[in-house]
Amino acid sequence: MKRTLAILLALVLALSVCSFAAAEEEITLTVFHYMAQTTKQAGLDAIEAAFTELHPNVKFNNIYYNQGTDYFPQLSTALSSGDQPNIIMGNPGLYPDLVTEGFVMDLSDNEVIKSLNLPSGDLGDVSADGKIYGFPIDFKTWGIFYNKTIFEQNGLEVPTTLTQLNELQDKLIAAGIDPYVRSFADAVYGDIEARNTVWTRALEAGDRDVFEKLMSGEKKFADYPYFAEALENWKARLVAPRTDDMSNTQDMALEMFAAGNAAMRYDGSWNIGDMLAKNPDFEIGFFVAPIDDNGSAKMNVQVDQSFMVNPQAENADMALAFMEYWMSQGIAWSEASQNPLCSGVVSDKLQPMVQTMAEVKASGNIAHYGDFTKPLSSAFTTAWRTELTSFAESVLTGGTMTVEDCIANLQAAFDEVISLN
Amino acid sequence: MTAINPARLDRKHRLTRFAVREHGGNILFMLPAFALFAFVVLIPFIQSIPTSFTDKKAIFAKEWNFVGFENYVKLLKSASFRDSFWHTFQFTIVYIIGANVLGLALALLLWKSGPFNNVMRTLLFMPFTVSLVASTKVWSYVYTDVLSPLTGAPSPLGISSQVIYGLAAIGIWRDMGYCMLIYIAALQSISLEYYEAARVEGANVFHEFIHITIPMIVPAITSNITLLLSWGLRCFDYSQMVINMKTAKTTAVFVYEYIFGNSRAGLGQAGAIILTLVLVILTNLVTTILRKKEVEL
Repeated sequence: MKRTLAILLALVLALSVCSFAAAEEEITLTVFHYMAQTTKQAGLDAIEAAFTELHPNVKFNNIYYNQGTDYFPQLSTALSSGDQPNIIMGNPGLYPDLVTEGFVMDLSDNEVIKSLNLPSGDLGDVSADGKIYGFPIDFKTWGIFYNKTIFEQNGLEVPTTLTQLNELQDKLIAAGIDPYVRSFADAVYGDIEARNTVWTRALEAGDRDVFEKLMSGEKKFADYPYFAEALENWKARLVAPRTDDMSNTQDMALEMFAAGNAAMRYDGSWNIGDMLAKNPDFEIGFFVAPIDDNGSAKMNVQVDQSFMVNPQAENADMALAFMEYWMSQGIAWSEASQNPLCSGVVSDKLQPMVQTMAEVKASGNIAHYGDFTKPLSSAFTTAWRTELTSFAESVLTGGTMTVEDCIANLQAAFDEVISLN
Repeated sequence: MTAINPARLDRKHRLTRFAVREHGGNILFMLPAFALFAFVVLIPFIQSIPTSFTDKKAIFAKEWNFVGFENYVKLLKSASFRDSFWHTFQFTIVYIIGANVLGLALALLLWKSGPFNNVMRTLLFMPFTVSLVASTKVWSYVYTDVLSPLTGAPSPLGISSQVIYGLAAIGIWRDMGYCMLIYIAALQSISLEYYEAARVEGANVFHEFIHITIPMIVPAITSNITLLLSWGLRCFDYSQMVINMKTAKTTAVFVYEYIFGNSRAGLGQAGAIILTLVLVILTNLVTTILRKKEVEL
């Protein structure tokens, strides 16, 4: 009996040693992402370091590609060659093939996501066909960032109406100050300039399926008057052109804005960290661009960092554990990247304007992309952005393209994508 | 029944042995490079041909349907695909002419060896060693931060009507040094006696250039034009750097965008095959015409 017991104990001991060794086996999680900003990359390093402190055997391999050019192609190549990343950045609606082919985990029953009671928009942004596939880490918005010093020196107030914004631009031009520094070499900028009006008006009108219907060809741009309104509003901001408007990349424009070369810049919250990194003494303010004189404009919100877990990769459980940790304990990420968390947790180390963005989102007085039935797919996004960039070029260089022409071009571009589908 | 002629058999046998002796070494030398080319380019391309007849979406998709020539028909009807060809041709024509004219001009200035000329040749060849993406990046700064403030004009990379010429200028800057070297080699092989004889007959510099230099360097012209035609028609990197300018979208970028970005692998692959066919036909046509000219001149 004693002998049997001894053997059993020895076996249990041996098994526990083996399982301990297995638990301590080094694991490398590969993260595929498109976060270009250095502050975001620093934020990723910070959250990974915090996780590694809890799990010393876990290391990370971060792979970055530019979203506009290389990200999905490189990801596709990796997946088709069997090189499986553990964590994939992106919204499932934008990359539906990942869902179809089973490269992303169904998170609909994930307890961490459920426990955060996120609003429908946040969950909509990380869902496809009614199922949740992504962890919505933080959100982004866009609007007009302004140089507080220039505003104070010239006695300027933050505008709350479209008329006031136009007057403000005129005052800056009269004072010999460039109202805006722009960067239309990056296609996203035409997009975010137009979104402000489109999202607000579309959700106001109950057109939650506007993008779905445009992509199917069931509806035309001309059926929705707010596209023309969006272009008119944007056109009013395309004043006092600079020679670098069309050729500046985001980074080039940020350098100039942070150096005080212009009073304002229409940009996204994802660049706050980099603006401050380029000039730590930079006094920046932010306001949502007015779309009329009635204060109708709502702050746009879209999940920014959404990450999906690949169930086909090795160590999927550990990847899931890391994402759950990031989702629930993401403050280190938020402080480093200056991005407001979807969870609503706000650090006092965030810039005041970032804290305000979080408060506005919490109030619910927003226009959330996730509340639309479907996001624009990749091909339609490219077509939309390309045509908007052409419109900006025409207006800024004294071309002849009218708002009606641009609407017609957008329709032609969408029709072309539909015909090739 | 025909009787075998032993003399013919012997000649055939000797020919085969001769061919093996003559070409065997060449083939062996070529084999490693060809194997690499086949592994990286040829075999994947042949393997991907069937995809062009399917509705395959993402390249990692496991299921798809056979759709026959539907992708080809769609592309031939597509305005954006035709536009992409037009942009490719525009780029290629400007690029070939610019790089060859400037390359030849530089070669005429620097063909004689000497310390100054040698340094200049090296400096002018250096851009050829820079990657295409880096060249575009550098030039985007040159256009925006150097030329725009000097001229007061916006960068051509941001203007739809100028962007393709702006890109061609980058290609010319990068590759004219290469053309120059080929032309220098050709110029150095021309016997000076031709020029001396022409001068005795009263020819001026212009006559010498037209009637001696040009005919003697036609093989170099053929080589440069053929090579640059192939590079130009495959233009991808330059165009990809100004992706949001629709007037700069070349066929190679269109193909890339559809295979990867838009997850329409079948359609994009059909575009790649059309591009390859056009490239092969055009390159062969131009080479044939130029070779004919070589003989005539």
